[in-house]
Amino acid sequence: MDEEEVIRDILAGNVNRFAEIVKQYQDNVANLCFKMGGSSVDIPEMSQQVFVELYSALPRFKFQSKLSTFIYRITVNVVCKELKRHKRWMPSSEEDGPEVVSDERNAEQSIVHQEKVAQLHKALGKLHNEQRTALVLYTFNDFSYNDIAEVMQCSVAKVESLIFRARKNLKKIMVGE
Amino acid sequence: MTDDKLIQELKEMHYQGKVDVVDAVMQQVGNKPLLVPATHRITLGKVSIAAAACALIALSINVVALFTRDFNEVQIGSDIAAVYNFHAGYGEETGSSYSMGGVEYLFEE
Repeated sequence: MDEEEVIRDILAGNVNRFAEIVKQYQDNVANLCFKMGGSSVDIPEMSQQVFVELYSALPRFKFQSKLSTFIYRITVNVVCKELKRHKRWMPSSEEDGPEVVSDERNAEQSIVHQEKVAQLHKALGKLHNEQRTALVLYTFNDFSYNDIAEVMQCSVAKVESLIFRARKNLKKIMVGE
Repeated sequence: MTDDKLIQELKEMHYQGKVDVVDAVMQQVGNKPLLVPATHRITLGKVSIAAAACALIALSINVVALFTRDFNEVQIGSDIAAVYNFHAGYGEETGSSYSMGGVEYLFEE
């Protein structure tokens, strides 16, 4: 999909082409919403909101960055707004914990692994909002520090600092639990 | 758990559910007005401001003109009346008309 061509077509009035962008990015947006928001957010509803806001924001897209960066910036803003509304972060429980893609482990190991991941998710919720955002983006789609800085609208130095502190604090929380 | 292992675990976290929001999104954006490119919005804004300014200026001019005209007419009328009375007072012929400000004023008994 030639993203620039699709966007220009949408801005020219061919609204139906927006569906192509939604199809392309909805899984990644849902994943990011989940990693950032836990169970505090309704993932399908959040994802929908992200794309509706993206539609309104498309005239502001200047093609100077990747469309994916633009979309993930909107995703981060939408989730953070929702988390502020809730005022607390609710991690997923162990029953509806995040799926871990790992076919080679046997069943027992898989269950143990699932529990560890649910714990990790819970610990993520205890991080400061900015630290969690930076760390989630760092572990998402192989984002570079520059990509993260663009999404978070801050300097690369700040991103490095946030990730360093997030990793340190996350380890502390995990060890404490 | 080591640092790297933590990061690896985080990378492997995925949302379990399946998301398909295309129809819902298209239903919502389909009802929104067509996107107006940013430059057009700015131009419309400038035109609106300019139009409002012109209207205000035109209104001000008309208001001033209204008062001025009334004043002038009153003033002219009073001047002519003074001329008429002056001549009439001395028994002089006043003539049937008087010209002032490019306008011919007719005296009527």
